[in-house]
Amino acid sequence: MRRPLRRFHLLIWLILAPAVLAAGAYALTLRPATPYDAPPVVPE
Amino acid sequence: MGHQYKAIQWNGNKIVYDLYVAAFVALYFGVFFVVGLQPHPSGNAADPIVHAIRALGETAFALLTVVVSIGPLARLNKRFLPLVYNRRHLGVITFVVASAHFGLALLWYHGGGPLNPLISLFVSNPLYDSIPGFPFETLGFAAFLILLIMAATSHDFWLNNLSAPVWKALHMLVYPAYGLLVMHVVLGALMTEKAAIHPILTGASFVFVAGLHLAAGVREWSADSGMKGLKAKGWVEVCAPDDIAENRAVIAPLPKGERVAVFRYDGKLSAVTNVCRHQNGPLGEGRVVDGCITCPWHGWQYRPNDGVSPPPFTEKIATYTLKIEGGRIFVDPKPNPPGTHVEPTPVPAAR
Repeated sequence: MRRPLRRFHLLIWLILAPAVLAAGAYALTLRPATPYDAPPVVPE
Repeated sequence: MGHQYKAIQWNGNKIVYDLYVAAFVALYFGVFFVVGLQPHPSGNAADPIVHAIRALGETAFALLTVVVSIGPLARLNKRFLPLVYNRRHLGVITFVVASAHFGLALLWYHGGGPLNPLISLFVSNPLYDSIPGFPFETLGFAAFLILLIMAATSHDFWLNNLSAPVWKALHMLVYPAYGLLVMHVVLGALMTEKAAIHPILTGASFVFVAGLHLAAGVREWSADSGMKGLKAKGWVEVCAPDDIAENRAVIAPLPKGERVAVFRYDGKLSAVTNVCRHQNGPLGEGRVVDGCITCPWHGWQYRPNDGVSPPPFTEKIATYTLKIEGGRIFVDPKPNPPGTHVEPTPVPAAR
């Protein structure tokens, strides 16, 4: 009996790694200038 | 092993292990929560509920990073093999923490409106055509569903009924789930935080995990590629008997991607398939304990001479016929039916 999925495992990561890294890097370059949790301080 | 099913297989070691993991969860969550509640330099303090949601999510992500690193670490270095033994418990604990994160986030952000919270999760942010504005919660939800399926089937009942190859394929969904969670965390942090350190650290975790998996995958692929050109008929040369340490094995590739594990024990040699019946673990990386081949992943055992688990267990694996010629071990690449007795070959006396 073969140990199944050895090549399938490698294939998953050959696809997943560049896809996630590319999407993450692209999102990083497009990040919004004013994130939600850094609002201007409003004096009370 | 397969003698009977128990809801959760606990023993003394696993209870201690689970207590350590629970302590880690409490510590990680506590530190993240307390530090994050400190007032922002702008004078704004984080909302405790919002911060609890983030702390739970971060804790689940850290646990999952460990879970998906264990497999390739064990493939690359045997010192990490003991971590495989308790991996399923760690995975289920990860799911429990992720459930707390999901439930609290769903109630807090989507529970107060007229819409069903699950529908609100998908429609409250319609920017599906934007990358920086993408509704990152949906990515987390997709990952949560995968973790739910995996946790629900993290039991030998499902492993036995689905068969090990199907079960392993199903549980490989954890890798896409991890990718979804990386994007969930990165996009969420980019939308809500000014500093980029959080998404960069998350990306670094992903690079680490992906690097481990690619290194382990390439190594496995290389081990098989040595069989190019070998014909299916004829005996396959493995090594010399002295190349095998006592109570250990040498793994040799066979045609069609098969692998055989040749064990040396008590002055004898026996050959069995390298694939454990349980989760297809690499038997040849285990050792002979109390006269039985013991899988390095979860301790399933088989007698070397017939591949049968000791009573009361009934699992069987394929055996192989071997011979020694000219001081070298040769294996017949055709496997015997599981459980077939093959008389062990005595190790020749040293000259």
